[in-house]
Amino acid sequence: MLVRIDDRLIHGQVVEGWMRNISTDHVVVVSDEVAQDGLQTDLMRMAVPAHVQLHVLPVSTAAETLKEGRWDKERVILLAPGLREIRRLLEAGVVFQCVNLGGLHDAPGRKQVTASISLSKQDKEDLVFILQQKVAIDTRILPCDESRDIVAILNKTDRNFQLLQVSQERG
Amino acid sequence: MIGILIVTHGRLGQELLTNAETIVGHQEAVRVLGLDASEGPDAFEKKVQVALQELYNPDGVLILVDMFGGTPCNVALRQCRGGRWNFELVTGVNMPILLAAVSARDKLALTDLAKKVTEDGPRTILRPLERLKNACGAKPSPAA
Repeated sequence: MLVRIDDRLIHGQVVEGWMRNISTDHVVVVSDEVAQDGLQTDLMRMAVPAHVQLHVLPVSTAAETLKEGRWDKERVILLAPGLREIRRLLEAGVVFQCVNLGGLHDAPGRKQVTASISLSKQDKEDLVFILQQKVAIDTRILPCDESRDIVAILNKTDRNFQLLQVSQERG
Repeated sequence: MIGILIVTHGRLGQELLTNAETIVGHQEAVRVLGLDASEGPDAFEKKVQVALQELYNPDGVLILVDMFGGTPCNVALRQCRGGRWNFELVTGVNMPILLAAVSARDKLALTDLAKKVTEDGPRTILRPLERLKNACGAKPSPAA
């Protein structure tokens, strides 16, 4: 299962890049807000190829379904709009080996870290939590890209990030 | 006059308009928005709303986007919420489609303009060599 964080959710890179690469049969979007948004859900349904199933679920429902292993035999892309949704899935007991941090774009409160990743203070706290669950972070925008080591970049450029890791480990 | 809003990835839309204007001259009531690679969807949505406000007129606005399912298209389509704006949207904008839209917009109502552009669109995609086979002559052999 590909677990991808992308605040643009279903868009060109995901449909043309990742879904082709993985021969996806199922896309699961995890977001409390989007699950309640009929218009966005309809748009996403139109954007995925006809043979691909789409579920748009609040975090709690997605967590339960993942823990049941219901999608274990399928080629699934799990899409979350932010680090917060992944953190909440982990807190609910879901286990991930690796998360693709594909796109978090510029927004108020966020500072740019790489071309495709901008992070706020809250984002960094969520990232540190995720790292402490021994989840590997891959930052490829597209399957053929090289992954940049976001943790190394943050450790070099952001003194607060280092302190955050230490304080969360102790806490 | 029907306003035209071109919404694409990057500079695609601006280049289409700039080059269309070298053919048909400067156009009024046209706006272009290009989504930057690092731009967040919320900030871009605000730009789309500002552009729709600027183009607001009794005849409505035709939104032309590059591709269905892309963020520019998704953000533009979300503006249908609550029926606040009178707009139509057509995907797959290219030069001939843009030229057709600017020339037909003072003759047709918004929905008819959108339908015409959608019908014309596929006809702008041709394989001219098929028709030129005789004029081109025999293909050179691979050894030549």
